[in-house]
Amino acid sequence: MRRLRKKLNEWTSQVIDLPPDVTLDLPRMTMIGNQRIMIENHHGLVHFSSEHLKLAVHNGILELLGSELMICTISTDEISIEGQIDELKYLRNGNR
Amino acid sequence: MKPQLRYWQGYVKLKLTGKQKEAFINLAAEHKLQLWDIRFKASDAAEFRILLRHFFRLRPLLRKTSCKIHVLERYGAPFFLDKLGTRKFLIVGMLLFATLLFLISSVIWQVKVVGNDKIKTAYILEMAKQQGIHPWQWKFKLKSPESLSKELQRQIPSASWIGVQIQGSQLTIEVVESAKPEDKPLLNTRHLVASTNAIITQIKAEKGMPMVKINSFVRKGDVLISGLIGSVPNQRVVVAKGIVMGEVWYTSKIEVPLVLKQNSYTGESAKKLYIVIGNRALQVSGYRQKKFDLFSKESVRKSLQWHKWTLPIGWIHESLQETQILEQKRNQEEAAKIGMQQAQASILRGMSPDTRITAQKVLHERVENGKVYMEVHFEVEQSIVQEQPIIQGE
Repeated sequence: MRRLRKKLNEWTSQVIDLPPDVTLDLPRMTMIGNQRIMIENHHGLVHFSSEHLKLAVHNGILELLGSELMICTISTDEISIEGQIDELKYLRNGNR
Repeated sequence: MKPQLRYWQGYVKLKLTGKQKEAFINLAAEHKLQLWDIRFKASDAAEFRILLRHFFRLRPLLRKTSCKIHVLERYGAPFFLDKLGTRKFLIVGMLLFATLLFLISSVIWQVKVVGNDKIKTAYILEMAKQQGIHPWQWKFKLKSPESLSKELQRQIPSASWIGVQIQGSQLTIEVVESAKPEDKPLLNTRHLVASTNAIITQIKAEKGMPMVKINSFVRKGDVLISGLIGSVPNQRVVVAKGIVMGEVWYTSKIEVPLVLKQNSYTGESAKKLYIVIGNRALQVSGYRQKKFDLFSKESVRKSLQWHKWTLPIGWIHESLQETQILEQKRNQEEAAKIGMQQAQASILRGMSPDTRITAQKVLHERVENGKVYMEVHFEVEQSIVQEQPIIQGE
């Protein structure tokens, strides 16, 4: 049933030509240089230190590496992070 | 949220310790608590800031995630006001300052008198004091400036106008003194003597002794009416006064051109407009117009003004009017007539109005180089009186 719904969602997003972040619950990231990143549609903080940040997103984990990281604001679906961002990794489910 | 709004609501900086810090942050986000500036510090602690009103909702979350918080700093208006509440004297001082400022500014500090010359300032101040105008007076105790000036005007009749003006803490009494008629200058005792050589036609002595008779010839400097009256033992000195008319001879040399040149307008005109910036003018309109050889120019300059300042930007309206020289020919007779009129006018100019020309005679007349040369003899009846002071003790 879940798989069916997922398929249906994918199909509608293709047909109506909606951006996938609206229909598929994918994260939308806005990055300003390497100083600031804003992530919408996240699913919660997994790990946080000043060099390493893990964020749960749909279908995986978003990993941020850098230095002097700081969470500016956080709400249930939006997070903005400041600091020097060096790496941004997308870990899929399974190979964490 | 705007930083200012945060300030008014108040916020605190907290230190968070515990193992499930991420879970705590997620939970706080779910509960819609505003956290910001979350920093991870060494030694397993994080710092964050939270609104004061959300701070009190943290406790159940902490219990769930078994984290601990520690208040590091407090910011914002609620804390500031709280602090202020404990410093009563500061508030008292502020209020005292405000009231003192108000009181000081509602007192007349200085009374100035302007524009008086003959009336003494001290006198005006005395009168003003009776109206309650003096330094250290409350402004609200005074009547309105209009009624004050009316009262003062009543008290000081020698001033024709008195104005009272209050500017801040200074009161200015402006006085306009009534102009009294000037005293007549005291006359020195004097003789009246002849100012030119003349034949006396009329003599009337108001004061003093007439020394000459009608039809007698006098030279310049001769005494006409003497200021010494009476014979030697009872002699008195007076200010001689009277009218003495005499016939004076003048000879005028006149030259009048036979061709008269006159400027006159042809009726053609042109207009030009310039824009002025600083001291440079730029012609804007009036390029395609006839150029005149002879013209009279009239220009009106206007500048932009703002309040009392004249700006260096303006414009000039220039109107040119073409002129031409008209030549008018006259015969000798006309020229002579005009010459006579001019000569008469030049003799009568600057004389008293009772002067009149009794006779005139052309001595000589010739035409040369397009001009009429004439020599005319005038007999003029005029006042020949001149003052000569009598110096006492002579």
